[in-house]
Amino acid sequence: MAAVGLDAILRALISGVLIGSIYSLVSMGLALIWGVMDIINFAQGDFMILGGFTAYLLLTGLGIDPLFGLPITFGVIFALGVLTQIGIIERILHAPPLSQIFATFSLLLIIRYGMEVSLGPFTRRVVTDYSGIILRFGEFAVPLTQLVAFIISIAIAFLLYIFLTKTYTGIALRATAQDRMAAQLHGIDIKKMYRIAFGLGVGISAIGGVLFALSYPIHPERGAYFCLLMFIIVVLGGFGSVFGAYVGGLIIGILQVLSALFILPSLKDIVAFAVFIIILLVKPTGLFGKS
Amino acid sequence: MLKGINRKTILYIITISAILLVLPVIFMTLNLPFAANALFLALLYSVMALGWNLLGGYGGQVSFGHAVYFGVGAYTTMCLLLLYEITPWIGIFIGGVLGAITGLGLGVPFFRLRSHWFSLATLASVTIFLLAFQVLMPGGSAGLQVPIVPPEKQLYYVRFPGPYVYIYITLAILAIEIIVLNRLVKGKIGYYLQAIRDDEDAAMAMGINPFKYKMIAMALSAFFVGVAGGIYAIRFRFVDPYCVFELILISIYPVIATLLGGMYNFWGPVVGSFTFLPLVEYVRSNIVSRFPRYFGLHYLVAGIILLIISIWLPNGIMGWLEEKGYIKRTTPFHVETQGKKDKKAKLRRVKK
Amino acid sequence: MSPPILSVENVTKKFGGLVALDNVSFKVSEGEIVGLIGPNGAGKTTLFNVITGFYKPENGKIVYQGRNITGLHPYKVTRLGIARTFQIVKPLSNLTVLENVLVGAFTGYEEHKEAVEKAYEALEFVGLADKFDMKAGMLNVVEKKRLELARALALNPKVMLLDEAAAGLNPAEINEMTKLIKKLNEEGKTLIVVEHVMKFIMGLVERLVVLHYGEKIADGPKEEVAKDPKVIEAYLGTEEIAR
Repeated sequence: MAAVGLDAILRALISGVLIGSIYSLVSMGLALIWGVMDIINFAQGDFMILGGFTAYLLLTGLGIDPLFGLPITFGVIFALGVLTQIGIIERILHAPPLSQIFATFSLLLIIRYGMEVSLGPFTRRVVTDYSGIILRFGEFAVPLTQLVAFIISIAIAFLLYIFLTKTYTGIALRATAQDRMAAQLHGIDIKKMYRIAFGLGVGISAIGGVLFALSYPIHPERGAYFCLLMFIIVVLGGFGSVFGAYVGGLIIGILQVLSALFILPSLKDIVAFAVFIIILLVKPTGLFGKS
Repeated sequence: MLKGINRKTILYIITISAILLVLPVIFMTLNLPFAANALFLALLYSVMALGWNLLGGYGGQVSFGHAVYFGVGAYTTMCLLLLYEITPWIGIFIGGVLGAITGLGLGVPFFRLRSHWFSLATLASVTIFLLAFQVLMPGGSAGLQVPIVPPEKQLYYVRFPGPYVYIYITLAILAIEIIVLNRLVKGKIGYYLQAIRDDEDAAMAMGINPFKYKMIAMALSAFFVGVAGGIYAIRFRFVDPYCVFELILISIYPVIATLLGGMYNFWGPVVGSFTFLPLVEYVRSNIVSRFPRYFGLHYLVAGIILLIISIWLPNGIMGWLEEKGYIKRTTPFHVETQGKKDKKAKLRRVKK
Repeated sequence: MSPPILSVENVTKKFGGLVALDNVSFKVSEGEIVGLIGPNGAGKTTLFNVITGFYKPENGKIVYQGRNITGLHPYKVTRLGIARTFQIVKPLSNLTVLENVLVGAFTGYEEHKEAVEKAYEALEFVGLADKFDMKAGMLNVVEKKRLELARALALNPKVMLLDEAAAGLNPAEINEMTKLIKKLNEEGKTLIVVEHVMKFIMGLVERLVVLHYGEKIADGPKEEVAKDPKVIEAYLGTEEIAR
């Protein structure tokens, strides 16, 4: 174990926060769906990568910059999410939890391998004019795309906060998450809430996917890695707590990069999974959650 | 030997067994390697699916982590052979035992979790083992390979050309598994597991210790999946962490097969495996391997099948047949009614 | 007086800030049939859950046959001889009616053959024998309640805790249920019966224990309890009690 200087740790912290902010964004989407609808969307990671590939196609096919095209990507995935909700999830909402697990798992397979079959099993890179720019702050170098991703991630989280606390729909969503029956008694259309929640949830994750694609290569099967990571983060942050998930994402991001400093890099992922299992066993309600 | 079986079922079993015994010979003579391979896979996945369903369909604990026991079994068999020259004829069973021990080990923390939490934890365990074996196992990421051996050692190394001998080996294991599991589920343990599945609180209120029976189911389930891993190792003579700790191919395929066949029926996993595996294997070997550009098509097909089952056929093929009345659900305790006037029924046990 | 077969001693159960049971104590003698009543939310089912080990009380203990069973795992409590039914019925939907009861019988009776026979007898007792082959999920609510009773019976218990066995039944069915439960008592089983339907419980028990907001406010012969002003106030003066 090499001696690790303060410099390296600081660098790792910054790196961790940057990647963590992307984890946070995508996990917020999962937490939203989980909190409002009480179902586990195993396909969340793949919706994220789908967002990344949508941006890729917009760029290579129509020449639209991924960041400018963010609203389009969001819109597309949001619409897809709502359609999925109407066509598939709604049919199994009253089925035993087993059927729900299997249905979202089938979504995982269909989206992931649908992408792979259509686009090919190739790793792609989103390359823009600003892809290679590296900013320097004293001793620290930060890729522009990662910084932009961080800023947008915070911005979206803020927007979501405003939405959930100040708008009628947002408050209705939170009410549905807290107590379905009470919400219904107050005249809230649960079906509509579910559709919005699902569309919004996968849409947000898709934005995260675009941000990810700006700095990292993407492959149709990459969703597998994020699928599990997102669950770990949502559980860490507290099931159902959207902002707990945000904090959780930053923590996991930092943990990952820091642990790569001290243990074998190939084992860094194990840290996250070990954390997951420990939390499941010790405090399943996570840091912020209320069962 | 088997409980709750009447004459008609015995006829079915004998006919099908005869067909299965003869098929490999036919395939070999007619030179149909795809058919032989598909048969092998159908049988191998039947072993895995039947094992999985003990815990999943009967016990109600849906595990996505059975690849762990498969991998443990595969690696055990491989390592015993390569490092200690222990023949796989014994090795695969040791692999099964180690798989069972792993299952029990994971069961202690995991069975505290219910429903989707349990499934999630088992899902995570596959990745943990994948990463761990990459680093800790001999061979690491590169994997282990059975070397070519002189002809006199081939029986000891269970090294035969083609899938044909392995088909018979797997068939034998499947037969043993069917007998063992059938006796189990038609007896007290089977009912206890189903009680835990249908309502764990009610089961507790009826004097059932859920943890104990979940562990029993896990041990048997993991054992057979571990043996399957061992068979995989000797058939393909190569194991690496990515092959055996594979979520979709090893953990999920048996689940889809079981769902397709019917989770709540004893024969469901076998029926499902024989339907599902040849289908996806056809897609994989005929389309995907010829056109690598379309890699993933077989998984896409699997996903579509899973979706269709989830929404329209939740009880699988056997469930559908039961609903339509083509097959009846039997208990080993057959109750007979004496005539219409006498409303009292008399108890009679069938083939104890 | 012989020692009580079941004794609830100073039991307090809290859920966060909510006190569901507050220092509740009473004793039940063997062969007694006691009614446990109180308005909704009084803590009756919570008390059952504490006795059978589904909840661990913050304070107090449960003593059964002289042995402290507080906090024992529910399956152990059942095996010691305390059986319960659930207020919201919990049938094993995918098993047949007979199999449902069989599961209980395997616990109640050591010998395999005997368990099967006793399971069948339990079904006959509640009148579900002709439906032995049906999937339990297909029964109607009344039949499911009878199944709950048969399952509890097949456990061969000494003490039975019946949670709202008469809820949702019409007067004729209530009469049937009353007869069944009385018969159980005659066969020597100790019973604690939770009920809302006053007519049912007055016709069934001799002694009443009344809970209100988790506290025991009355415990004695039914005629006295019915006239107790605290009890009447708790029920907001419903005429039911006086009848």
